[in-house]
Amino acid sequence: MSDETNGEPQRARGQITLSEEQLQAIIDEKIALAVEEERERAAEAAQAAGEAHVYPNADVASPTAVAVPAPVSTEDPDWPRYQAAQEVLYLERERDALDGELQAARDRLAEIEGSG
Amino acid sequence: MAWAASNVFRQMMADILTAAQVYDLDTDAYKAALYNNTPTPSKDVTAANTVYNVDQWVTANEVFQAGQWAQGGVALASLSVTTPSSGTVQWNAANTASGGAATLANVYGCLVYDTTRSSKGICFNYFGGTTGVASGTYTVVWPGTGIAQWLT
Repeated sequence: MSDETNGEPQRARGQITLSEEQLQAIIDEKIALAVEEERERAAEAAQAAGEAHVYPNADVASPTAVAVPAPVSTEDPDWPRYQAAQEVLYLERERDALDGELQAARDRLAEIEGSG
Repeated sequence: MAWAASNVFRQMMADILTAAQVYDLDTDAYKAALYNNTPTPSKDVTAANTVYNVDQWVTANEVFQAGQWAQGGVALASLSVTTPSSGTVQWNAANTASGGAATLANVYGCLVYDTTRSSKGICFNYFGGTTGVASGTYTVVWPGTGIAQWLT
């Protein structure tokens, strides 16, 4: 569809001339497409054969619950004092945890206000 | 139906991967709430149904004792995210204990949820059967593989 005049190639109407880089890009794209199609075919075949694996796999193990009897019996006259003391200890621990949560919330607020 | 296994909620992962929800597993505040055998936990529920006091996790199913293992759960301490081996990410915490004068019965498992993020659940952990304590300390001993782990 082309002719030559004075040794120069003449482009026929509608014909596109590609540079080497453009040509290589098209070839690379075709290869990538073919590879992807092949990968999909292989994945479908593996799934059909029941060989497919899904990642990531979240795994949760069962914890152990441990019960340790109190050193003071509920029948012991000292039980009410022991029980009250344990409640104080527990609530202090929870208060400390809440303090940490409060500080974290304050830090987040400061961060948001700082970036705004 | 009842407790049968421990699982991470799938919606938790989906929300992270789509940036619908951020979770900071070592700095957000988390609690472990105890439950009897009434709930039928499912890893495939919507995000809304992973939340504390919603669906399976309503307070009617919860086991607690004021001043010993509070309603709403006990705060998890010493949270960390580690990568102990190839392809493994673990979420750990110190063992979670009640006060020393607790009486808790019929405890089958716990919901671990993020109080910083609208109380959305991360996972539920089955204790393998009924557990409890009479006038003593009830401790949830997290496994060596952590509260949860992700394998890639």
